[in-house]
Amino acid sequence: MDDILNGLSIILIFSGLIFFMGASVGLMRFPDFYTRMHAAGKGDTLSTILITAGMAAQVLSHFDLVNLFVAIKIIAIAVLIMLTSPTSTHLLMKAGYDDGIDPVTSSGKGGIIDLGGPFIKRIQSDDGESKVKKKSSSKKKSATRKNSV
Amino acid sequence: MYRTLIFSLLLITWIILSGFLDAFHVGLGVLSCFFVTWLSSDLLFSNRSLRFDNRLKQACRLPLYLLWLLWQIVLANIHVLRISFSPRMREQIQPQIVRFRSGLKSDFEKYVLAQSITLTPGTVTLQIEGDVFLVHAISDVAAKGLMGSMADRVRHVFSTD
Amino acid sequence: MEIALMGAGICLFLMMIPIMCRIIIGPTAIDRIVAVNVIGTKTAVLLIIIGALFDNVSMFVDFAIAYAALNFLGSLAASRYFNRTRPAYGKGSSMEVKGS
Repeated sequence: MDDILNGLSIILIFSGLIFFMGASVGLMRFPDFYTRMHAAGKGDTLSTILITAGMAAQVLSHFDLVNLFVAIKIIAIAVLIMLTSPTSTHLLMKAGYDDGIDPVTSSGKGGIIDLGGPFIKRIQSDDGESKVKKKSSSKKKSATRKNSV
Repeated sequence: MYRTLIFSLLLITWIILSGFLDAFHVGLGVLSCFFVTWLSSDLLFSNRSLRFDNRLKQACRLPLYLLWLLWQIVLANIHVLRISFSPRMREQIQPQIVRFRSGLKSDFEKYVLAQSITLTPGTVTLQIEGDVFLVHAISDVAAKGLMGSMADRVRHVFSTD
Repeated sequence: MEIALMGAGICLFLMMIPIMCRIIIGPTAIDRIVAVNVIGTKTAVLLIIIGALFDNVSMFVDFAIAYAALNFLGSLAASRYFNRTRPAYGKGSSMEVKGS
């Protein structure tokens, strides 16, 4: 049993290290701020979850009540980081966007592409005229932008 | 009812974080959890009009969603790993900012959808205004995949029937 | 097992070096904040590994929780700071279509 948990923890820790390597190389190589945030936000979350899970398995290999509490605390760290890391990614990215950092886009400089939405028809019929007009104008914009590509 | 729930949640957190089970520490925990519940129990669970069995159903559906999300996180990391080690990276990524309507109502649903978008492959939420999501996508494929089933999943998890 | 944990800790530390380079060369201030955020998260993980090496995980895990929470608060405060100072330059709502 101990050997199984130890082996599992080593596998988890080293797969977490591989994903963290992806994050750090991506943070170095990606071309602009926004794409670097992709690497930071995602690689950070999964590698932390994997390494902390590995450490929890490692702690649980000597099983008693104190170690059980410690393992639950380690899992609590993983949950905390899984909740907070996307939030801080989102906030920092919003700060950068408000700051006026221009994203490197494939379609012209900094344009927003409108996808509409799966429920756009229902929303239009709910909200009446004004939103329809607004939506159609922005759709025109996105159409011209797509043509310019 | 909600006060009891919040009190027990706080007490469980206290016991896990303190790690002692003797009478003195647990007594302190009960005292402080009671104080916090009495003072600020209206911060959690904003929609109090929901029936309690609905909450129970939502609580049962959330772990399944979290498992699916964990699988998506693994896929996202493999995606990042593959892009960041590929020698011709600039041809593989087409970064773009897209915007779409989700049709979700409550703040917590929007929060869950924003977290999920951030953790799934190739997309990061930039901003939410009303129910319009502004999303940075790393490639065309990721931007198209955004319109898939995720908002439906979130709506299913938090549906009130 | 000790050797594996030691190796994992050293690998974790070595992989922080490219991120530190990003702190030094990062073109904008927010790049640097992101890198500091990533390093902070990984430091919380490194604290657990150090605790396991010293055979005292139950003490170090509390430090790790506090470090992770403070790291989140720090990046939150930094992003708030940038949000608050910049709109004085007269760019309207960030939801507007840029460049049109």
